[in-house]
Amino acid sequence: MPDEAAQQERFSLANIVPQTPELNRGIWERIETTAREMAQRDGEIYIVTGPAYHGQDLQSLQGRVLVPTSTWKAIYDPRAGAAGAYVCKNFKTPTCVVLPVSAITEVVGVDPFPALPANLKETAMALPLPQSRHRGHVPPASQGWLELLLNFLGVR
Amino acid sequence: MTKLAPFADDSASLTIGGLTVENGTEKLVFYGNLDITRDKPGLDHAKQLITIMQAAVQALGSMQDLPEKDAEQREAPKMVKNPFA
Repeated sequence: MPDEAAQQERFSLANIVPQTPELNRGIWERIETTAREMAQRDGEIYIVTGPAYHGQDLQSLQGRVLVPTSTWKAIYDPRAGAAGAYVCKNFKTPTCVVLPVSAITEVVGVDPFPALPANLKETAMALPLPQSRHRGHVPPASQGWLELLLNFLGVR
Repeated sequence: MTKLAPFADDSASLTIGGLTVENGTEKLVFYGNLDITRDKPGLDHAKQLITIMQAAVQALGSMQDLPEKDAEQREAPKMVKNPFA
């Protein structure tokens, strides 16, 4: 369980990005619930979450806060010896994909788990795909992940 | 139960069963699912929920300058060039 300091850091504005209510209260909330259930089941998991900003223009709130075009959540489960990442579009109709952690590094430029071996990061673990009660769905990543992510994010 | 003073800040958050409550200076948001079960946890959840609702009513009721219209419409986001592109 996170300690008091970690709980407080959760609310630092440096650790917050704006999400659409449809994403935040819909499929993202279900992904967070899924991650909590995994932690309860397997005892310990590592989660790194972050934003991505793609496209020519971005939305800006009050002239100060940029709205990410997508948010991602990388998960490492030591007991399963596997890792994977959810990437969700931060839109009014959010959709998510499950990809290897290396996809995040490739496209966003962040390695969520620098200490993990490369082979572990190149295969996406079978993360549960929560169905949003409201909107959005998780399409399976059957095509090449890099192509899929670039298409998904509208980079190509 | 974590203390949450409705409309006092933009960061406080708590959960009541499967219900998430997020505080904001412009709005208090509830989402998720909560079962009020016919047992002691059910009573506890119901009490937590009514406590937060009472605090919200009290906070809003004591504000002199409540606008007639929804606060959401006031600050529309602007489009800017992506500095990361």
